[in-house]
Amino acid sequence: MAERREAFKMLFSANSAKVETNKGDAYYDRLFQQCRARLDELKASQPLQAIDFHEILSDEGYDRREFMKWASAATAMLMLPPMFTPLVAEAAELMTRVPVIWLELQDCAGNSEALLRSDGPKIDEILLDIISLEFHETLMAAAGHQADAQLEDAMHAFKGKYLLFVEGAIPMGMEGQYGTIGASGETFHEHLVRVAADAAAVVAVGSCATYGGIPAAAPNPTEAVGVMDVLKGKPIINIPACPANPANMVGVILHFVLTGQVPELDSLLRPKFAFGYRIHDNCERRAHFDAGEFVEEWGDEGAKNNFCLYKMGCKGPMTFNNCSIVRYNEGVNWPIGVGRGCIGCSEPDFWDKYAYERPMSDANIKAPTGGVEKTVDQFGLGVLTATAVGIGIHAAASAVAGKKSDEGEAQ
Amino acid sequence: MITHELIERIEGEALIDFRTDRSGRVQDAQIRFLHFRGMEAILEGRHPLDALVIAPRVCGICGHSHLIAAVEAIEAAYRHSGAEVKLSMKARSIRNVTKFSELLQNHLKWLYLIMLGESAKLLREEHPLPLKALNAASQANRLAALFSGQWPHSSYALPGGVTCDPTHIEIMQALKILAELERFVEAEVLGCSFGEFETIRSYRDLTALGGDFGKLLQNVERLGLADTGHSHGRFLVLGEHPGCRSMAIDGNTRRAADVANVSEDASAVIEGKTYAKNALYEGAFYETGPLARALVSGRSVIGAIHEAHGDSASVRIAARMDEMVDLLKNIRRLIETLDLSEPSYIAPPPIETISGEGRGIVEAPRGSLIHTLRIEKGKIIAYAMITPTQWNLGNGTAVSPGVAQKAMIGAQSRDKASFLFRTFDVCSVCTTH
Repeated sequence: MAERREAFKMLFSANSAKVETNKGDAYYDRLFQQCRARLDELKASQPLQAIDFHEILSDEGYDRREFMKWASAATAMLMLPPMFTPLVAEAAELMTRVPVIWLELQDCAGNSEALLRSDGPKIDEILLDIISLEFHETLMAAAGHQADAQLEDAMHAFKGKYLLFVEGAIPMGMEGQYGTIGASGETFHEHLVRVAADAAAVVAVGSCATYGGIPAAAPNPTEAVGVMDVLKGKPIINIPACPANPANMVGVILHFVLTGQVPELDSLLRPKFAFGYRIHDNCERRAHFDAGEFVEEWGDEGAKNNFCLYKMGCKGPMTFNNCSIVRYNEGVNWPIGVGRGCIGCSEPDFWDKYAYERPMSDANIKAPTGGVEKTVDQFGLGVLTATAVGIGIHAAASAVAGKKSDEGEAQ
Repeated sequence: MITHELIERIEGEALIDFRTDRSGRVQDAQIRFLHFRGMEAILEGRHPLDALVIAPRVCGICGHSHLIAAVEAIEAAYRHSGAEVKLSMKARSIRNVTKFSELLQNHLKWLYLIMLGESAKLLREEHPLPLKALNAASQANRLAALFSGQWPHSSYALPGGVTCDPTHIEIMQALKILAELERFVEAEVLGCSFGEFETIRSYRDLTALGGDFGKLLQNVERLGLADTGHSHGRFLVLGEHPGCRSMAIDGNTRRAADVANVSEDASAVIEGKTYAKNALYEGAFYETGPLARALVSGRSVIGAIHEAHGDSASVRIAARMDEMVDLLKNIRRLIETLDLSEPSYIAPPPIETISGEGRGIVEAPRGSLIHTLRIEKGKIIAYAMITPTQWNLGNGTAVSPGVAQKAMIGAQSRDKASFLFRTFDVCSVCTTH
């Protein structure tokens, strides 16, 4: 476990993995003071749960040294300089003071499932157990009308302070009747708008909540859209992917606890610390791409030798996410590890553009050139995911664009 | 009196309209699902292999079963069109290892996150969310991910095999995780060794078990629910499962089941009451899932208890727990006998040349899952799914109730009826898809 954490840190702080976020000493000194003040303020506030964090850690077999190693890896993941490590450690201890409300809308619960087994260091798991999840349909003790009451209570008690996590798309067709909540029959849309009104920030988790996801795939039977398509006037953080990587969910909460602010975002509102580079940039099969060694057919010699999957339709070069570093299920594996190629599940419209049996090498687009460390804002958006990208147009776009099964991805 | 009761802490949520008499006893329960995505419509018109990406995303907790059902449906379409599609033993075994791991994690979560907590709540006792159970479920997911790349939502199976090519290192890792899971189930779930568990023949001995399984049965007993929750006594298994053939049981009669006798009833959907269609066998409601599988395969302890207690809540719970032991045994056998020198994948003809119909049937955590598709020259023309919870949570009438409905009718209170509902391992996203 400790070795993996070290490897994790090295990967996140390696030059190839980094988005250029170094803003100079003056900036970090200022940020450091800001975080210090924020943590002092949180420390003075009442904990939402009576929990001795260090007691839990030691019960689970972690000593202080182990915990600080975790904190330094988490600092690297958030792309902060090492001087922030003690603050990140403090923020972890104070996570219980930030209330989280989690809503499930038009979803498959896959992100909740992923959250239950956050990646890598088990300390993440402990953190998830103690964050003040004031409302979560699957995880909380209350159910039914009692749960309704609990949601009302949490919204009232933590007005303006809670982080709202949303899992699932919002069906807008048939006046929202494809998804209703509770005995009163409130639509998902009404429900989201009401609960979001007093949130400090809204975190859209998974591809359904960010871009409409699978429900919004052509012909988009329920006219599903993402959170940012219907919610205005609120800070929104998108954590796409199907499912979203739990490490990134923890990262966003940690960042919010630490700074009181949303992390730096790209044009699709994704945190740059997680989506600032492509799968391809840190892929374990990257050397084979560079050497021109490809799997040409499923099950061939190239497949046996773990060659690059680009010609089999891997979307790693077009997909911005950190799964090649974080991997899945406590780091045990990831899709490329089983020779299946990336389906670009964290990109808008992946369901209509990126299904993996359509090799991008056959499509009428060029392989990415000009440096693989460019970020989504500099590169890619216009070229690679051409037609249907844009905030607020997903539903319309997928209905109009139809199923692009045979046309490739050309503009 | 009619009351709307919301059932959460499942995958999605359900609404039950209870009709109760003056004492609060349940006379009728109408089950409604109010969330729909239209997955079948999304699949139609697409490239067949898209189903391997889209179908798993029906459900975050049994997506892998959907993947296997989808890939088997495509393979069946190959055969239907006269084309050959071969699978190595190795590919078959790996698919089963990942599928059984998914069943295992489901049962663990159902026991710890839902049933122990809900029963404690009804007894007004504390039940903190146990970290140990989350960790165990995570290990089952890791086991699946070793071969499938990630869990939930992997797409590593293809017509003709699987994309992974495990080495001895993965096998060693898998056996290590498996040993951890076996230890957990023995020490925490059962409170005895597998050997001791196998000698148990009576319900009394099951409830006396020291582990959390025994604790749940004791809770159910203390709630006075052990001998309640009886349904129609009709059981159905359609997919292949270890020691288990496709079979329909109706009281004392057993016969081979034929999927041609399966039908769907959409009347409640058309009336706008719910988004869930009923699934019927020979026009009647049949229960699917672990209890059906245990009775078909003749697993001794469950058979004996069923004989004595019928299809009660406690027998239903016992069957799901007993299945964990069975799954672990099968996963070990499959991994230990895996021949790594066999191919993982044998290429079939290009899918663009295929026109035909196919059906894939899988025994998923909650019961029989059916995917049916028709392909015309490499394009999906029609796609239909019948999911496990459609069988169990069907919405009948007071005169002819569905499986879970019948189990709830007669319960002393709505709370107790809701608990009985959960013994079926409720899933909303799967039911409506």
